[in-house]
Amino acid sequence: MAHDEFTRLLHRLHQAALDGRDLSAASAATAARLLHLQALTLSLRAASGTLEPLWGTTADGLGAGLEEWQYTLGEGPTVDAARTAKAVTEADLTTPAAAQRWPVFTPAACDTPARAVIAVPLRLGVATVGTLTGYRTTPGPFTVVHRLEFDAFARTALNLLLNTQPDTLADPTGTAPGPDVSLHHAEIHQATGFLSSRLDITIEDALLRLRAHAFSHNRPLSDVAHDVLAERLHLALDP
Amino acid sequence: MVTTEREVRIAQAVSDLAHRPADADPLELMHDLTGHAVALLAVRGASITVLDHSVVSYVTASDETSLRLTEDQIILDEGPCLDSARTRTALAPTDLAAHWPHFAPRARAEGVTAVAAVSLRLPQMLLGALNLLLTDPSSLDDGDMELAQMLADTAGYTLAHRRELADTAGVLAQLQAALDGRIVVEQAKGMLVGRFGISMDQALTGLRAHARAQQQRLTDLAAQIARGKIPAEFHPVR
Repeated sequence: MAHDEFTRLLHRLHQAALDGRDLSAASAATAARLLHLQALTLSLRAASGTLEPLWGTTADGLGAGLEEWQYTLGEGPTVDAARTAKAVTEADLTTPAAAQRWPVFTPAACDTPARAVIAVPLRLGVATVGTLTGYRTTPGPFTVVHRLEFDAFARTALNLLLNTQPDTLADPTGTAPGPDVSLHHAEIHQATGFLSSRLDITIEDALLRLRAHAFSHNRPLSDVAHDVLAERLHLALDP
Repeated sequence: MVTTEREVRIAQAVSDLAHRPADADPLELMHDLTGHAVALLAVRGASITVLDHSVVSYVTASDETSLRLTEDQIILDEGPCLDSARTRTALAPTDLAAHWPHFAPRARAEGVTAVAAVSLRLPQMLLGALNLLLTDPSSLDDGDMELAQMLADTAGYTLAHRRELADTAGVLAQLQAALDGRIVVEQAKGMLVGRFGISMDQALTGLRAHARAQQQRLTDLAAQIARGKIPAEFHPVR
């Protein structure tokens, strides 16, 4: 049963995130297959809102290639999902409406086997941390069940993403500096808000700043957050 | 028969939990449930835990200390708030030291020595638990436990009947909204602490009071503040 297999995948990845594993714990190919997609990519929102590829399937022409196109063009479903913080779907990339929506991206996508696309923002409170994008080679609407499953995978991927080095994926066995039940730590989100107001930067940039410090000093994010709130650690703008 | 002041306050609490607009904020509802529990019962604090994809998560707490003590249990993977969310049954006031050796010392440091819980249930499903943090196991009697269960049930019915989405998927969507919303609230609290130099508790009280005064959803106000737009008329301490 594909559904059972998907539920088991989610559960295993949820546990992996609690154990401090990063995105390398998840096989993009397996996730794509269980989500009935031919390509799946995760883009990270870096400083000043630029997107970077972080994880995904490696199918020729699909996925990574189309993501790179979007970053360069500043146009497309991934870019829209990151900018608007809302889910974006296009059921048929060959239609005039799709071409009108993304005048440069759509023709480029149609040169590949991609025919339908779904992109959801990875949100932590009001911060958009990245985007999960899926491509399908057959046109057609995404059903409610597909959307829910895509959302569920996106949430799990977000947990793993928070354990992932901001600049690069670590080696396949790499782990974050100690288990960090990130989403359970209210202090991480409090410190993000605190830093955002003290440094007068966006909540996204404040989170990046916290994570950069945690990784460069090999400390759990929750410890860094605690010290920031206790005003024992004063983070300046530059890492 | 004389109506006591406490009876009036109980009726007000039930009325407050039952009468919510169609687009009510599920996180706000659950937060208010913890607030009413603290106001009406001899408890140190209250929190709500749920089972989310077979993992226990906290939804909200009446105050920062209760939030920390609930988080501590999730991190230690031990404690009454975890057990109550997993079993989703009521827990009579129970002494901590005898059952949860790792969590008990942390709780004692905050003056909490016992915990009770009632289930957070909807007509069609069990969600989790309303946890009551106690300074003394004898501070709640059977009648108090019944009162706590009735408050939780009132909030549960309101959650289930909102937008006529009385189906499981609709309820789960609201639960997810509450879980997402709590992060927004924490970000907003941090923002307010950074700006006004107040405590986290004062930030939360200020948020709730402002949302109520402006008839704005708690999560919406928190999102606005977390994006750096603090309303000019916002008063950090009321």
